[in-house]
Amino acid sequence: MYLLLVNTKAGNNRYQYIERSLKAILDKAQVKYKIVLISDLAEIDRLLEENIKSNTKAIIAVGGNGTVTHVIDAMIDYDLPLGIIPTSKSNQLANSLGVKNWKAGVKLLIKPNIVSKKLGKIGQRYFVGPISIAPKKNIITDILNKQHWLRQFLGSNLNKNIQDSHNVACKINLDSNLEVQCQANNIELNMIEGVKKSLKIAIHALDKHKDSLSIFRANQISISSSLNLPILSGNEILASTPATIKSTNKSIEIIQP
Amino acid sequence: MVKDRKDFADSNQFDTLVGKDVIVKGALKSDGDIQVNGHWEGSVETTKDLVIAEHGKIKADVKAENVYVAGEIDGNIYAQEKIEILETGRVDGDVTSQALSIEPGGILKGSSNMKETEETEPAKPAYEVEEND
Repeated sequence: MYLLLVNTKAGNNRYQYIERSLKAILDKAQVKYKIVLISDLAEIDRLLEENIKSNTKAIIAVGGNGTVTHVIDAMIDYDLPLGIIPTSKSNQLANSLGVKNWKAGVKLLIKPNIVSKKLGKIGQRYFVGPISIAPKKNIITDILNKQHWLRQFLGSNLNKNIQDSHNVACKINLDSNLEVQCQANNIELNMIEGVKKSLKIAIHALDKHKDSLSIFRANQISISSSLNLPILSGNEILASTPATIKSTNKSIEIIQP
Repeated sequence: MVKDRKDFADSNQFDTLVGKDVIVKGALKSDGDIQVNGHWEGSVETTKDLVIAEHGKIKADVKAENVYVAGEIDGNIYAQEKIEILETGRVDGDVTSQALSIEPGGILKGSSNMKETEETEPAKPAYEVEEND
């Protein structure tokens, strides 16, 4: 039986619109499942404890990036695979794992293909799939970057707002062997399976509007930057700089195409 | 594998790539190709190739299978096979390799030691001659 942990609020309450279709697909395929609604992401630990039974064969996160990353953190001690049914359009984590939309996620439960993925860790939080360290554009920074009365009222120091087009000075220590000083616009980290140094770090800097790339490999990186940058899994902020990111010996089984 | 210039532009080739204006300090041991477009202080050792690109500067002793210098290196180079100093390249240090080439314009300020190729087994005759008693 699949345990579906559903964040009803994700993707502008999208679950309420897909609920009937989702259940119909699973019922038609005679897939056994139990749906548990999440009202608060902090409850996931308790919900798993209460609902995981001996016949639970996988935990399915139904929601956005935030739901998935919180479920990964909570299920680390359970030896069960993770499935993802993305209900928000910006579930980039699901996208990166090949689950393009909620229907694709549901269909995978009918014929599951399970792949083991190595887990990384930032502080106390686990992650799977790529992460990025970059200025995050949102509505507030958009407003503040425009000539807006609020900006004039708040003062000129807001010129220091980080934008997508800015480089930020960063210092990165790799495995205590190397120190890298750079200007970075975006740093991407990928977990690579089956190699000695399993974090691949790609540092992008804008040099006269051209992308200047650096690539390093390590098992652990410590990063600090002149401005605090968010560390993102999809669009979910896992932490912010300064931070230490490392590959772990743990892995998670994921239902993916 | 011997590289030519067009290989230097392909970032996917490299296990480690230091971008322009990036400063790296420390020691690296690698099993992949390395390209330095920025600055490096410390030491670099790889079982594959090391490319110091046109804007790259290294202040370190380096060891690699093949070393291509289009930038500047202040340190000794030890290559298992070949060292190529290109027209914009400059080396301040001693070099040791099986083969060395310096393009016109390339500078080597130091001594060059030619490493002898490993002795190969003498070739066996393709046929045997029967000796008559």
